[in-house]
Amino acid sequence: MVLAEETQCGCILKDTPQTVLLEQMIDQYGSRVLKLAYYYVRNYSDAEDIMQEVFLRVYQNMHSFRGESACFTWIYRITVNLCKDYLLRQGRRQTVPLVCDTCGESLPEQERMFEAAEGGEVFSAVMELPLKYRTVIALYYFDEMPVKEIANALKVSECNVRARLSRGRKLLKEALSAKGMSI
Amino acid sequence: MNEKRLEEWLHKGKTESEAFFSHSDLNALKQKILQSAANGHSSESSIVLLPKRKVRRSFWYRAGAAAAGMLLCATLLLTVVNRQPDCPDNPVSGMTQQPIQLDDSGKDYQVSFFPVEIPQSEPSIMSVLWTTDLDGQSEMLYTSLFESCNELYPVSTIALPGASSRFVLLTSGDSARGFIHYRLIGYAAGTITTLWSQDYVPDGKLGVQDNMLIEQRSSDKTQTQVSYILPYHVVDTATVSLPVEHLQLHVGDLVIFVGDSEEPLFDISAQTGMMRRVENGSDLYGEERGVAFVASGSGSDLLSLSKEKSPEAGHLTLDILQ
Repeated sequence: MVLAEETQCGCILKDTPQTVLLEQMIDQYGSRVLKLAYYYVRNYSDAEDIMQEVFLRVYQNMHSFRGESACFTWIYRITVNLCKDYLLRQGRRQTVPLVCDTCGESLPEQERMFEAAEGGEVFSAVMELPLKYRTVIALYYFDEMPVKEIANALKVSECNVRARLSRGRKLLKEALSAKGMSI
Repeated sequence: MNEKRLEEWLHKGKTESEAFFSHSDLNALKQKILQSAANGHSSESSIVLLPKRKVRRSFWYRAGAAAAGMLLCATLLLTVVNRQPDCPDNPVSGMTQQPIQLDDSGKDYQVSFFPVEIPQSEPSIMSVLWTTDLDGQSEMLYTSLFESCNELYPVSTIALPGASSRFVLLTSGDSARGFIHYRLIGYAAGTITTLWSQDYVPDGKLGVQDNMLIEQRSSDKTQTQVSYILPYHVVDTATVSLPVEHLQLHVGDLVIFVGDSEEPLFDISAQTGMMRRVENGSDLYGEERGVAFVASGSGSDLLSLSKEKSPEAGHLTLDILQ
């Protein structure tokens, strides 16, 4: 297997064994994938399972990687698709809304307490936002992803991302005010 | 509202996020992944219901940015179509083309596929739907980029009863990497509408049966999701044409109604509740359009389409199996 020469990230080298490449990709992107999975599913062990599945898929198909931006966008999209399938399966197993736009209300109490205790007030307030707002807020403010990268990863337009950021900020202000945090 | 204060809170949230995720044992996760990979974790190739063919890559041109690529495709396309229709020396080798019938007007419609290279991205396929008028002038109606793929599937058209125009299904993918992309587009009164669009459908399989799409995807080896995508057409202001009147499916399957209108014209209700509506459908596979129901229990149900002045606009009976 021969890959394109590395240009930017130091992770894609010619004639590098696949397992070494996989390890490099996990080192480089693993944390971000895990976070994105958590933003979707809000369950730590499930997020870890999704992360493992993502990189196993990456391993199976890594022969076609060319450059860092395409590589990461592709990994993110696999993550998003796996998360959405997970949410659909959750909807079939539980008598709760299939799609987690109201995930804040349907998350088990124990996990919400864990999130509030371990994450803090602002983090848990962001996680309580509807799915499509909390993902962009978390990716933009917590992971410091540019709008363009978020748009590519979630496969929406940049305008859509900015609109969601704007709406998400308004909802977050209301949520923080309701918690008694001064704005 | 104090934006500066919100920014401060969000900065605090970033710190909290870092603390929250600091509990992750990424090294242990990495070792598990590497172990699974070394043990030969593999996936089955996608088995697509439609026959496929490779895009010939004997000719490449660099299209620059995606917008520049579309412009170049259009320019080359116009160069080709302004020649005699049976001209053998097509200057754009590598292009695949298929005539289709979109309506009963007698106009000549074609779908062309060009392999394109976009900087900092993988080889992709640009699809172009175009037509020529009686004067031989060509008009581009629709374009769509299929990223990172090299396989094409025949273009399918769907004609609903009572509809003067048709729906078009464009599909591409990469079976080695196990995904497909597809677009379901509607054509009416000279206007193209994208009814349903999906990319990177994992282990995706797609077929057309009884004028509806049946999509299957699998995010892991034990769970598959089947979706029945039903395009509907408004025959008049009060009646809707569906591809089928009866559907047999299994618990967990999805039924998704997609119409050729900017807004859903109809209320859709389930009689027994076995079919449960998916709320906030925009989170369903990232699509804004479409009204989706999930088969939540075995039995029978009746989905009724209605609107204010027409309570009996359309019906779909369903038998749901375990």
